[in-house]
Amino acid sequence: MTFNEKSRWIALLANLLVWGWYFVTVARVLAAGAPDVRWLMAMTVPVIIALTIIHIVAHVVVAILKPSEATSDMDERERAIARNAGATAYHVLAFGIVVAIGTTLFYWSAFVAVNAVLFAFIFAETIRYGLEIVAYRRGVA
Amino acid sequence: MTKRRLTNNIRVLRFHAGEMTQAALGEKIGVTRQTVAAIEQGKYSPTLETAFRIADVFGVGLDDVFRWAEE
Repeated sequence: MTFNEKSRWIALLANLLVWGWYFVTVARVLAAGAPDVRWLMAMTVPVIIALTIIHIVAHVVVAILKPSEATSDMDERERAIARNAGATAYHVLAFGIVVAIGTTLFYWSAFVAVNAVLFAFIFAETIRYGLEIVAYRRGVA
Repeated sequence: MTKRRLTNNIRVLRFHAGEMTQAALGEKIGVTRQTVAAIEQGKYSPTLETAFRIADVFGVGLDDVFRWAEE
């Protein structure tokens, strides 16, 4: 497994863990009432800090375990994998943004609008990481 | 059109080149060991440039490294 593949695993798991927790919390808060945007600001700060710490610590550990492969430089296969996954994830993102806009038409609030767009973005990113990992395992078409 | 897939002799060529490792070949052609493994297993078709580099390393022609196989 190359350093970049391990990096994708870290990003995928970090996304599922941290953003998963965030969106579950958002759903609970929405069910309980209508929160304001200040709540959103207060939530995104710990999320970003947690993601940054997880990424730094996990990448340092991976680099220490195999220093010879610890480079983020991608070779041609890895670039092809990133290109293919990015192209598919773009369509997921575009669809997600349209759904997010549609959601705000029926249920308008700044809180819902921001979170719907954020969810579309994070979902597309997670799909991208997943597709990259599948391509690393199964091969590039 | 007949369906064909690209196969290669890289493993054999490595063996005849003093049992060259995948990592050593990867270093010579500018890709990771894992990419050499993926090429050998038919999981990745290299660019034309890398294909020529592989042939150059073993001092053979492109046809001696890669060939079509009927499916």
